[in-house]
Amino acid sequence: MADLSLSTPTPAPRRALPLGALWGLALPLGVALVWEAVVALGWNSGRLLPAPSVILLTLHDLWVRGDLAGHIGITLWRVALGFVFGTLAGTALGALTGYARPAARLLDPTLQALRAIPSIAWVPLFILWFGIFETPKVTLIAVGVFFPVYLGVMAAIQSVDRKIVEVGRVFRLTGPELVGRILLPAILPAYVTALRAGLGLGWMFVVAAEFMGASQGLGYLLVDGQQLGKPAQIVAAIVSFAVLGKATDSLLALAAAPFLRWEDGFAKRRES
Amino acid sequence: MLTVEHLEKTFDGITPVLGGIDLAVQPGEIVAIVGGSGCGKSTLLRILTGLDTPSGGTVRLDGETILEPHERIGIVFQEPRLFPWLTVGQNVGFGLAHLPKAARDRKVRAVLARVGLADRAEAWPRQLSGGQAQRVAIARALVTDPEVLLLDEPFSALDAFTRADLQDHLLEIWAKTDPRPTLVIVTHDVDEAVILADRVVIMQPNPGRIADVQDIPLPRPRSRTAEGFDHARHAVMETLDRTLPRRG
Repeated sequence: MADLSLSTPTPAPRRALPLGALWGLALPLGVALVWEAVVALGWNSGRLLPAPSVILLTLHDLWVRGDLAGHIGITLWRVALGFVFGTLAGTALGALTGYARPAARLLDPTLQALRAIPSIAWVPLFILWFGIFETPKVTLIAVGVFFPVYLGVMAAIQSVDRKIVEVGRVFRLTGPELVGRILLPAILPAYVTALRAGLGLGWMFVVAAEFMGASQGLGYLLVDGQQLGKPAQIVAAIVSFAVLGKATDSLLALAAAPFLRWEDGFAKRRES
Repeated sequence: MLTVEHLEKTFDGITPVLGGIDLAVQPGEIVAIVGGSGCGKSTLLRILTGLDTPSGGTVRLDGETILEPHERIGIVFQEPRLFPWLTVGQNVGFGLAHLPKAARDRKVRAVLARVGLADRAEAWPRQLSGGQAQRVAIARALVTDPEVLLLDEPFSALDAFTRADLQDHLLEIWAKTDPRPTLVIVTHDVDEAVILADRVVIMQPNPGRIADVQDIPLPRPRSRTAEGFDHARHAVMETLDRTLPRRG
């Protein structure tokens, strides 16, 4: 698209991170403080759900020993790989079924049936097929990412305004030109939403994946914490998942924002 | 010359929409097509564009049969149909992707100046008024220098003042373009047909066919208050009135 620009529109003035973003921290911090007080005052032993200070200490210890960075690194790597493969397959098949009605008739019913299978159901099969190392884990995550991306792309392409596509016909675009210059830009907002949904499922599936015989990763920390009776470690891993999931989602939204400046949505109207 | 011969269109193989249209439009001529709803005027225009195929008969531009969109034919739809993800300048330059960027930018700037929007090249479509958006759509159609420009009720969604302004503007652009493009305008606004056209084609429904063709012998530039305007308008109205189906 870049080569079509007359000249790049002047970017909107960069605003400082709005104070409103800090509001999002109010709820988790508030809950943590209350729980800390409850344990500190002795109203609860904190044995099953340790106080936030204990969890922070656990995170600190894991970090100092160098374990946490390793666990986070391997989990991030698995999610990233699964996300890339799932997104590629979801985009390609979603575009195909969205664009070509015969392809939708042929493929969509089967894919919708596969979508209904719970993630855990795949685990034994993937272990049989791919062994116990990285391949089954990445495959499982890719399966999780695939469906929201596939569904989002297909639905978005099918709902692109026929009148706008007709303008492409007037300018005698070829099939690939029509996809690249009209269909893809038109579905971009829905695509970003689908990617974010896919990434969210990727984070869910990585836990299922790391339950199948991992010796590293945040999912392994969960299993290890359960087997050795270390609730602080379990909560520390859960907190890490929450922080990483939110951070990667925000990064994705942030990366997409410059491409969606043209949008005229309800939220944007209220901002301006 | 744009020629239409025995043009027929049937929907679903049973419902006749156009029942034999014959029409010849000279280069540089402005022809308005008027008629009540369902008389097939928009279908006729879509076939002229090459977006629909006729069930019978032919459309030719200087002898070449038109069966699909053609580079010498531009179209402006009832709605602007701008791409919301492209700036005004990028929208206008959409049909010039084959040109190097510098040449494209030059043409886009020139045509935006012609429609009076030279300063809006960087704006997003959402920031335009209805009239401005339709002017961008006209610029997008004009940028490829089409010999024939087809307009499908281009101003019907606009308020009366904006509509009159854009009609004058379209005539101004047409008069200043060398060679003058052929304009075929579908409208249900008789005033619009009379102010714009050299000839008004009046269509009647069931199936759509030409009821009458009336010359508008008014000098240009035209004025809505000039002598003769009411007379021409009256003549078109009278024919139109005869073609409208009556209840009872």
